[in-house]
Amino acid sequence: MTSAGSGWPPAVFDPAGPYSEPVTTLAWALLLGGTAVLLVVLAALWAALFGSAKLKARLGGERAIWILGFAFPAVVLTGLLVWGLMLTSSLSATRVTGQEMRVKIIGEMWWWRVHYQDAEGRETLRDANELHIPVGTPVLLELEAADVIHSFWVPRLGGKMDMIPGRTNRLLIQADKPGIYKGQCAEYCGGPHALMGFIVVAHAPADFARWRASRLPASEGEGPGLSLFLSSGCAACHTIRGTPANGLAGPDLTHVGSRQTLGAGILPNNPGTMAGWIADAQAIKPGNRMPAYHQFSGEELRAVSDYLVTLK
Amino acid sequence: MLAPPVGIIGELAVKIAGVEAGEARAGLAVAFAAETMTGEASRLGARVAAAERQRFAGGAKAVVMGRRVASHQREEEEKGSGAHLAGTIVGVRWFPKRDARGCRMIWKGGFAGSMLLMLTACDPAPIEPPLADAAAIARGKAAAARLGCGACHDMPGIDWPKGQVGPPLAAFGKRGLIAGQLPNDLPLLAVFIRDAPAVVPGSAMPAIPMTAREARDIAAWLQSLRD
Amino acid sequence: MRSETGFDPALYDRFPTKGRRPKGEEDALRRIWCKPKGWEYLTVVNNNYVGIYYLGTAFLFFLMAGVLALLMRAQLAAPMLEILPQGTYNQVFTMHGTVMMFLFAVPAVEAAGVLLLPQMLAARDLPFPRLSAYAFWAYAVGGLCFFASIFVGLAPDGGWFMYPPLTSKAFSPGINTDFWLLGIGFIEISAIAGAIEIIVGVLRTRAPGMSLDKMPIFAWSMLVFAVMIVIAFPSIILGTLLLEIERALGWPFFDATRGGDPMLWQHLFWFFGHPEVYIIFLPAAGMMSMIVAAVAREELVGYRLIVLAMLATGFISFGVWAHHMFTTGMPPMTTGFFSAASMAVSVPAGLQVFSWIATLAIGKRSFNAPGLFVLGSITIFVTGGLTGVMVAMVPFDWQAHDSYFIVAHLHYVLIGGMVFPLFAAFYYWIPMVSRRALSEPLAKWIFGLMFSGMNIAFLPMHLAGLQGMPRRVYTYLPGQGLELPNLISTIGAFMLAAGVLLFLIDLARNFRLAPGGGNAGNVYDGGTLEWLPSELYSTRSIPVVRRREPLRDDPKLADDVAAGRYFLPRSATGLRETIVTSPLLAEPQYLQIMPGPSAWPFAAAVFTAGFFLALTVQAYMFGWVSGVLAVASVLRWLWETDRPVEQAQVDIGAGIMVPTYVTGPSSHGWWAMVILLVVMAMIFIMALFSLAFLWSNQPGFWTPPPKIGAALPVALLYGTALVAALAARRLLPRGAGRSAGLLLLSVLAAGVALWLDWSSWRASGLVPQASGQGATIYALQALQAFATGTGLLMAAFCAARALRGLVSLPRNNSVDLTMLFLAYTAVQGLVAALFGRAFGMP
Repeated sequence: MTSAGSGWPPAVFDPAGPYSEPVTTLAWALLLGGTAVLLVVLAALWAALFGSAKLKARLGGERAIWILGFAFPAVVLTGLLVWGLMLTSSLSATRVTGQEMRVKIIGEMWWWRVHYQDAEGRETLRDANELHIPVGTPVLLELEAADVIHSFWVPRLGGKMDMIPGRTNRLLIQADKPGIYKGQCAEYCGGPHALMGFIVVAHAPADFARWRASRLPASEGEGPGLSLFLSSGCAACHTIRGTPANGLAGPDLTHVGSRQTLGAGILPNNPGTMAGWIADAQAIKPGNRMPAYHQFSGEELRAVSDYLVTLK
Repeated sequence: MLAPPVGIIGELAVKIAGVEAGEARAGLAVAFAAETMTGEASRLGARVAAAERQRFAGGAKAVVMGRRVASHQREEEEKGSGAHLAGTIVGVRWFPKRDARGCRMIWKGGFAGSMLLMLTACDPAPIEPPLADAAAIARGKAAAARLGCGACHDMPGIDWPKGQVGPPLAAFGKRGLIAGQLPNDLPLLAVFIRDAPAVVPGSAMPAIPMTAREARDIAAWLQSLRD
Repeated sequence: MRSETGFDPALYDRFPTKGRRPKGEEDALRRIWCKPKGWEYLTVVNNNYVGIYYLGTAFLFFLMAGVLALLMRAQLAAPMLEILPQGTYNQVFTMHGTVMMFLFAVPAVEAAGVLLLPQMLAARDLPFPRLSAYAFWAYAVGGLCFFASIFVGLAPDGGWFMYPPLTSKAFSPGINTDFWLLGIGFIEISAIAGAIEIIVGVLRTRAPGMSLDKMPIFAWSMLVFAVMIVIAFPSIILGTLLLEIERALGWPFFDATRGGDPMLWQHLFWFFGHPEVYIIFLPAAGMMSMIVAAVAREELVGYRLIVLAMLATGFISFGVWAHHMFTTGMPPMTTGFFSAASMAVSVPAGLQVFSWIATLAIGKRSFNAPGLFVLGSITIFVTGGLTGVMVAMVPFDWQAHDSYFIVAHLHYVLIGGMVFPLFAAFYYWIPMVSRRALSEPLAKWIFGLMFSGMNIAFLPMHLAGLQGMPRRVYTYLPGQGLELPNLISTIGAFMLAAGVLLFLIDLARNFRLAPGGGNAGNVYDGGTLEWLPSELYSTRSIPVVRRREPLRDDPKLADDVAAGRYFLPRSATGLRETIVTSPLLAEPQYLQIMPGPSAWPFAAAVFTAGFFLALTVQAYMFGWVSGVLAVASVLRWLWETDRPVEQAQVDIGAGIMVPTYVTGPSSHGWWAMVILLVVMAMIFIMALFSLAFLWSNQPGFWTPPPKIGAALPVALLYGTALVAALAARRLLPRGAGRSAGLLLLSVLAAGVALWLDWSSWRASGLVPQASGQGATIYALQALQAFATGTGLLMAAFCAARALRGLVSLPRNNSVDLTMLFLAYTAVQGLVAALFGRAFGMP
């Protein structure tokens, strides 16, 4: 979590996969080229004001306007356009080989459903708010929205793609090194849009297989924590596979204990934050859909949060 | 009237010993030793100790693991602060040197309970232990931010979150008691931060995985909050 | 020189006339164009007043939206601050964007047009002064009420782009969103009214001899601006209508679960929204061109290039809207096209920038206040343009889109392209309306604060965006490296604000309104006609224009004009009047009699505002009463117009005789009606587009339409309506009553046709709430019903005038315009009936 972006270098200039790397190259080229053009214009402006009479005379005619204002940009822009078009088609998810790992991600106000799929598009595993991927494998994301428009953006792994009700958009991402990559909803979706985070955890292939195996079994939990969970209404919104809890409105909690974050990519996950989140999620992420649970006694709160963090 | 505070001190000794020693047996041994020392505390302390015996035997696992990870760092660091464990067992090794009337008290030995009483009788002025070193304070603040303590507590200098489940911790260094029950003393606070239910059984604050050093750093930071 | 209208250009040589004008002419002009007193300040229609009111109000909105910006910057100064709670912040950023774009930028440039154009073109006023007054008051009253919603926490919070489904009833159940739709409704009305006014004004009321190639560049820019409004605004008008209908009645235009599509809104919004940027930029660029020439004391280099560039900008800007949608999953082919167009649109901007640089190069160097702001503007605007090219690159936009990089980009473009030019314009033109010019020494401070503040505020935002900070966030988490750039931005924002504050102080110290003469005059040595000595009636006489900068070339011009040695040195009819000229060569055609002050435009505006506001707060009774009163006020104001004067022909100077009443295609009223019909047709075309769009995107929700055969009687009736309308004009010489009867018949036929069409759809089982198809089909019919209802009002108006003997024979403008409107209504109804059936036929 903490490694997921200190802001320096800026995420867009710190690519971690083949779908972000060429864009970084492009960004540098644009940034440096743009700065150069700006300097040219400022130099022309300076020359127009302070230059020699000869220079001024050259600048002060229609010929100069045509050359500097038309021919020069037309050439540069045409070159850029060709580059842009080629890059667009090579990065677009229209080129799919069938070898990609497939995941459907559904934007909700203000969190993310993550449905892992097999090669045929059948759902194999449900999770929320974080995506685990093996390094070196392209991942084809099918992006949908359950309520309003959201936008999926993990800058170090690729560009963003909107999630639009009624549509399925596709996006390719890939990480080349293990690590945690921060993402964020980029389309204004009301209320706590600012706190709609996400993380992608990239594992070495062996670790990924281990992670995946650990996720498949259902929960075997029991005890006071679970019974409180069931009797307090939590199960109306949350599912814990292997227990009677089967609500669908909120994130699936079958393996919540092993998630890196709480509250959609914003808060570290430990027994303390879990208890705080349960007792008063509104103070942490105002406006989110989870009500504050003030009715628990201290011991009950601990029982529930201790139970949830054991759901690894 | 004397019973509660004295009892608490007794309990404390037990808890601290147990947690810090990391091994149930050692903890209990110290706890029993403490009981004998603090006379009045014995009844309560024994009860708590009994209740916790089982817990330490099993529940201390996590703590032990955490400690192992950080053990060699810790040992180095602890040289400076003196025998932490020992100091804690004997109650409170030192306490602030001044109050409004200039009472100067050096506390020593196993009479922590009565000393506390004396302090209370002498003057209710805030207890201000000397600040820990700046590096520890900074580390503590960073650790608190990283662990998300703000999920429940509004803490100065931590922008977010500012939870309201637990008490706000502004000016914590001036506060007399931890969780309204325990004296606000650094080693004790560190224990509380790491495993609150162990020292305040009804507490909503769960045991939170962290190293003992992190806990002490956080405690140091919290005690440095004086305004 | 060829003639356009048969007017002999040799007649221009009679000017300047010799000798002295008779005494009393000037006093008569002063009396006719008199100064308002007391309450009359509410009823003025003279552009000198309305323009100032307009500009002042727009500037007030700039200040208020600027305060909102400061609140936001305070909230974002550090992570997770709680200066503005989340909900409030979301309202504040929505209002900041909406107010700046709709209530400041568009009205401000429009206001500049209202204030400056008649002076520059040496017309006595714009051709529809009462329309200007109505547009202004509707905008001022409505805009202020809309703004007030933020004080009661009811301001919209869906962003200035208002994407559904976030703004649909399900996710925004409060009336906040309705306030947005209301506020935009006012600006739609005033923008369209202003556009009609400006197009007709620029094309028909230029000083004689001012052919298009001698027109001041600002007039060119306002012309392109107005044409762009006419084409772009219908899209947002339809969009806001549909969204409000969806919210109020549950017709699912944008609801994907019921056969609507949220993408439809994005297309409608951005088809307006992107041209909107150029709508704001072009007039400002026009001002820049004027000011650059004045600052350099040289004629503008590349005049033709600039005109070409502006036309190209206007044209290309309608092909770039989808660059706001590169991340919506459009196919690469589509994004490629819009990417190319978005880059292409930067070329004309480049041409203009280098024309300005060229002019500065040949001219004198001076760092007076307008000059400084010009230089600042070029620097900032070019920076924004370059980041614009960056985001036009699709792959880069995938990263930059909806991040703070875009916030930085758009503020560079808009502040550099519009705000700085506007400040330059303030300095440059304030001496035209104020007794004193603004302070030059203070201007250096103001410029310094604004320029550095602007860069300090917005440069770091590029970085924040590339670090991953999305737009429209009320806060950000600590520890992502965003603290420093945001803190710097906040400091810069307050510096910028300090500059503006200093400007306000300067205004308070030096701005003394003097519309009726006695102003500071041509401080910066401009060469165009607005610097002629003028009073409330504008210039004493209307000069013949032979060059682009007449004042520079003819030093005697000002004296000759003031001595009345040119056109119209007096009021020929004793009424307010101006010369209407031909569109290309500006040959005098006729004398337009202008309406004077009236309380009715003001009343109509207040009731219009009352109507919308009451409906928004669901006070329906009050709302409908207000609506009826608004219509009644408009009719009442029109009742006084369209009256021929006694003298059919008058001498407008040097013995040149022109008519005082002209009907048909060369009349200014006809032009205005045609432009209005273009607006209506554009709204209608956008509705057809909506139907086609939903049909292609949501075919699963489509049901078979009624049989095309059922449309036959509908088509026949619309044919009847069309013929009746045309006949009404043709048969007018035979009597006003018969003509009015035919107009009413046309309305009746159109109404019955609509009813038949509607019933056949009802019979097919389609209801508007059922699907996107149902919603758009009935929306088309609602548009048709609106046109028919308006047509009924107009026909009834003509009938009433016929009864009172107010319809002139053999030709009458009211009948002409009603005929045009009804003919259009019939055609629109027919297209609607056929088009709706064409989609989804088995």
